[in-house]
Amino acid sequence: MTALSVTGLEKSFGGLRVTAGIDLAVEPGERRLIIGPNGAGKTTLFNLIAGELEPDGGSIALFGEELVRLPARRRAHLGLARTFQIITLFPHNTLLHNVMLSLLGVRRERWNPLAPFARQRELAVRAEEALERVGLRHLALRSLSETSYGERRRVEIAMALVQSPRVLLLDEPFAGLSIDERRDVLKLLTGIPRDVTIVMIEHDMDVALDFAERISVMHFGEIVVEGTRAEVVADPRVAEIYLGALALAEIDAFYGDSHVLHNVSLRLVEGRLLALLGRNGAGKSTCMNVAVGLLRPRRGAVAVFDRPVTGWSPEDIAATGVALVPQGRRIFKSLTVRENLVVAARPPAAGAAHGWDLERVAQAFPRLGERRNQVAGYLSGGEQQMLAIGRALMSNPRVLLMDEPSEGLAPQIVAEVMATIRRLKEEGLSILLVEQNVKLALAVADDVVLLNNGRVAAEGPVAEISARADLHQHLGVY
Amino acid sequence: MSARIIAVSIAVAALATLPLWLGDTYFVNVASQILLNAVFALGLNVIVGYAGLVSLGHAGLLGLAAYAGAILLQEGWGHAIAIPGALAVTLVGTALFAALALRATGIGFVMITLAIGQILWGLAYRWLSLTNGDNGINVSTRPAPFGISLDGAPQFYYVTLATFLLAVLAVFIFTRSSFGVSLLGTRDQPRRMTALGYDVWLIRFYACLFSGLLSGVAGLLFLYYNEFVSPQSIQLSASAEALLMVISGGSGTLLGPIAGAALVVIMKNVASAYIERWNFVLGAIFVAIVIFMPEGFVPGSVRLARWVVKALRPRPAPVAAKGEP
Amino acid sequence: MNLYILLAINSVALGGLLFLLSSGFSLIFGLMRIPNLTHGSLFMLGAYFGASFYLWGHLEFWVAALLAALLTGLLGGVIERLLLRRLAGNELAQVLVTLGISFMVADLCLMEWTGDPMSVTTPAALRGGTRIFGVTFPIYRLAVIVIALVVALGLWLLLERTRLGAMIRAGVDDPDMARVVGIRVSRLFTLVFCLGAGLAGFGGIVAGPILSVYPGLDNEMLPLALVVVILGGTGSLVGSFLGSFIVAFLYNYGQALLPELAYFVLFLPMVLMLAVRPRGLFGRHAP
Repeated sequence: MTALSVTGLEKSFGGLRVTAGIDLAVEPGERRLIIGPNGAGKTTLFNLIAGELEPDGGSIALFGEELVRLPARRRAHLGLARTFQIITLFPHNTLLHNVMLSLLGVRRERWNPLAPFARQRELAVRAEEALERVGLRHLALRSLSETSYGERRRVEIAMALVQSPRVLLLDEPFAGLSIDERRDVLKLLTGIPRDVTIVMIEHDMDVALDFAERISVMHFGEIVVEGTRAEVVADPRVAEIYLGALALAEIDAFYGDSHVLHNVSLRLVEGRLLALLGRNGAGKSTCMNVAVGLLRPRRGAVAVFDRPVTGWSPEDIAATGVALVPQGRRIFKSLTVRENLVVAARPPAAGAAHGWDLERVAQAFPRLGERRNQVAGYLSGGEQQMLAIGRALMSNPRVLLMDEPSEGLAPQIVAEVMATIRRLKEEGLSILLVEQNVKLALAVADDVVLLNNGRVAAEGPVAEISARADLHQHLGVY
Repeated sequence: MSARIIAVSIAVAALATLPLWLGDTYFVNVASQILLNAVFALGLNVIVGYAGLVSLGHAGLLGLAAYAGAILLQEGWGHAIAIPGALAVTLVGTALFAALALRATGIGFVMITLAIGQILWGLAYRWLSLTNGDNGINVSTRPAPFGISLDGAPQFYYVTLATFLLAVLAVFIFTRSSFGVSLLGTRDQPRRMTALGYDVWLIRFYACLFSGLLSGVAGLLFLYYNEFVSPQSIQLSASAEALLMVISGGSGTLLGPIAGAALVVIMKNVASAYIERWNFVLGAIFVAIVIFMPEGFVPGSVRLARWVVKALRPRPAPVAAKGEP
Repeated sequence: MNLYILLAINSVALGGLLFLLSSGFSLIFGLMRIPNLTHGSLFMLGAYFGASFYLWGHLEFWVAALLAALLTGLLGGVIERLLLRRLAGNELAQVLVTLGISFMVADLCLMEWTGDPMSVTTPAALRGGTRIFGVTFPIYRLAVIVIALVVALGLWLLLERTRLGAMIRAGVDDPDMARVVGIRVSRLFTLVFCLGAGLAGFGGIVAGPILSVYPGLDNEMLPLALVVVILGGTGSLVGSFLGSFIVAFLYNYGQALLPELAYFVLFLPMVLMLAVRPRGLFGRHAP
C-alpha cells in the first residue's frame, strides 16, 4: 500500500488551472522531492493534500484512506503533518509550550477546560524528547522570540515529529537558512526513521537533491518528469523548464526574519537591457520588489537615474519613471482593457522619443486593440500579459522592470513579446528583465547578473557570462 | 510567585471588608457596580482577548439574561426558577449568536455581532407585549438566599463579591487549562492550529458559550442591582462601553478587564456629576486609547510610569573625568 | 388598497434616501475595507446643519442642503486625514475609531441642538400632492426619488466614465498594484471618505421633511446602511441602489405588518447573507 497516493487531482482558480490531473505515488518510508519553477503548483498541491483547499476533482489517499472529503483538522489525526513556507509559530511562548501544543492537537486532553496545561507531564516528556531529536532540548524553556531563524525551523520540525506522523510534508524547509543551518537541518532530516514518509518541496537544489530518493518535477500544474536524481538531471525536458538607468547598491532585504538578499548590487546602464538570472528562490523577484518600493531594504540604497529613492513609496518611485510588469500580470480584473491602460497613463517626459498612448499600445498589441472594451478579467493569459506590458508602457517609463514576461505564453506570442522588448530597447528604454527562460533572456540581454541564494554570483556583459563554463550549473544545467 | 499570592490575598481581604471601611452606602453600591461590570468585562474578554474576536453585540447577551429573569419573575416564577431559567435562555441565545457570528472572523465578526445586538435591542424596544418596550420591566424583590435579605447595600455587595471571585477563579482555571491554551493558539495562528488537528470553529464556539454564561451571570446581577431592565441596557453604546472596559484595561489579561471596569464605572459616576454628556467622553476616550495606547490604558500607563521613573533616576557619575590620559 | 400603494411610494422614497446614505458607505467599505460606523452620525449632522441653515438662516432649501453636504464632507476629510490615516493598515482599529467618533458627534449634536426634535418644513415649491392614475402622490417624495436617481447617475458617470473613477475601482480591486502603477491610493481614501460623508450629510437634510431631525436618528440610520451594503455588496453602486430599495420595502412593510418584529425582519436577511454569501449580491470582496 502506498503511503500517499494522489490520483487525477484537479484544481482551478477562476479560469486558471493550477493543478491539472496530478498523479503521485509515494511508497512508505520514501524520501520524495517535488521541484519546479515558481507558479508550477507545488504549494497548491501541498495545500490540497493538507486540506486547506478543496480539489475540483481527483482523489488523495493516505495509507489507503481517502482524504478528499475529510476536513483539514482531521488529517493530523490520521498521521499527516506539515511544515509551512513562512514560519508561523507562537512567539510569546516557550519552545516547550510550542511543541506540547502541537502534541495536544492529536490528544483528547485538548478539550479539558480544568486541568492546567503546564502540569501535563506526559505531554511535556514527549515534547522534550522531540526537542532532543532536533537538538534543542537545552532551549526548551527559552521564549520562541529569543531564538534564531534556524532554531525556529527546527522547532517546527520538532512540532511535526512529536505528533508521530506517518507522512510528513515539508514546505521549503531550507528557505532562509545559512549554510551551517542548512547542514544541521539536513542532518536532522536524514536522521528521521523510516516509519515516517517524507515529501519535500524545495528550491535549494544542492541540499535537497542529496536528500531525495525520488524526484517529481512539476510544471504548469502537472508532473512532467519523475525518477531518481540521475534520471531527472539527465532529462532534457528539465533543462528546458528551468533553463534561459536603475541601481541597487549593497541591498540587504528581509521578509520578516528571513534574510533574502545579501549585499546585492546591480546597475542597469541607460538604454541597455540587464537580465537578472538565477534559480528559483535566488531572490530575483525580491530585487524587483525592492526596486519598485514594495519592499523596503534594511540596508543599502536604490537609485533611479542617480536619484536616491530608497524608502520611497511605490507611487513616488513610479513618478520618477519606473514601471513594472509584475509576475502573474496583476491586471485590474474588473476594469476594461481600455480602463486598465487609461488608469496608468502619464504624459511622456520632455525630450522623450514618441510617447505611449492608447493608439500606440493598440498598434504594438493588436489583440488588445480589438478587445479594448472587454473586461480584463476575461482575457486569456497571453492577452493579460500583453495588457500588463501595455499598462506599464502607458506611464511612459524611462525604466521598465519585467518579471517573467514570457511565463504562460504560447511560443508565437513569446516571440512577439521579445520583439517588442527589442524595439523598446532600441528606442532607448532601459530594461531590467527577470526571465526563467535563460535562452530568451540571453538573446536580448546586454548585461547579465546572476543571483544565487540571495547573493550576486556573477555579473558582466552577456557574451562573457554565457561563455563561462563554470556558470552553466547556475544557468540551469545540473 | 509568593509575592503575587500575598498581593492577591491583600486585595481579597480589602474587598471582603470593604463595606466596613467605606461607610457610605453610595460607595458600596459603586463597588457592587464595578464588580458586576467586571464580571461582564471578564466574559467579553474571553472572546476579545483570548479568542481574538471583537464583539460589538455583547450587551445583547447581558440584556437577554436580564430580560429573561425579569419576565420569568413577572410571570410569577420565583427566583429559584428565574435564575437558572435566565441562564439557560442566555446559553441558548449565545449558541445561536455564536453559530451565526462565527461564519466570519475579523471585521465580518464585528458586523454580525453588531447586527445581532441591534436585533436584540429592536426586540426589546418593539416587542411591547413581551418586554414592555421603552418602559422596561420592574423587579420588585431581590432573592433571599438562606433567608438573608439582599435589600441592603452591604448584603448585595457580598453576594456580588462572591460571584465576582468565582468568575475570576473560573477564568483563571480556564486560561491555564489545555482548552484555554488551545483557544489562545487559535487567536495567534488559526491556520497552524487546524493543521495540528484542532477544531478551530468548535473551540471558538465553546469559548463563546463560556463568555455568554459569564455575561448572563452579569446580566442577573445587573437586574437585581437595578431592580429594573430597559432597552437602554442593550443599545450599541452599552456594548461599546463593555469593549472599552476590556481594551482600556488591556485585553488578554486577567487583571485588565477588572481594572477597565473600575475605570469606566468610576469615570461614568464622576463624569455624570460634572459633565452632562457621558457619551462624548466615552467616544473621546475610545479614540484616544485606540490611537495612542492600543495595548490598553493600564499597560500603557505602566509603560509611561516606567519611563518617568527612569527619567527621574539620578544619572551615575561619569567614569573618567575629561582630560585624563 | 390605497394604504399599500402609499406604503409602496413611501418605500421607494425611503429607498432613495437610503441610497444617498449607503452609496457613500458602500464606496468607503469597498475601497478602505472598513464599515464606517460614523456614517449615521454624519447623516444626522448634515440634517442638523441643513435644518439650521434653512430654518434659522433662512437660506433656500437646496442651498442649505448643499452647504450642509459641504460641511459634512469637509469633516469627513478631517476625520480621515487626522485620525484614520494614522492607523493605516489596521482596519479593526479604524472601525473602533469611527465608533468612538460617532458617539462624540452624537453628543455634540445633543449639546448644540438639544433633545427636541426639529421638524423641517417641506420647501414651498414641493408641498402638497399630485394626482396620478387616481392616486394622490406627495410631491416631495417624488422629488426625493428624482434626486436619488440624479445622484445615482452622477456617481455612475464618475465611477464608470472618468479616469478618477477607474482609479477608485482599481484601488478596490488591488490596492498594492494600484500603488505600483502610480495611483495615489491614500489620496483616494481621503477623497472617497469626503465624498461618502458629504453624500450622507446631503441625505440627512433631504430626508428632513420626511423623517425630521432628532437625537437617535444616527442609531436608526446606521444599521440600515449596514444592511443595504451587506445585501447589495460592498463597493458596488448597483448593489447599493438595489439594496436600498429592498431594505426600504422590508423596513416599511415590516413596520406595518409586524411592528413588534420589525427589526427582526430587517436584520435577519443581513445576517443570513453574511453567513451564506458574505460578498453580497454584487460585491467585489467579502468584508
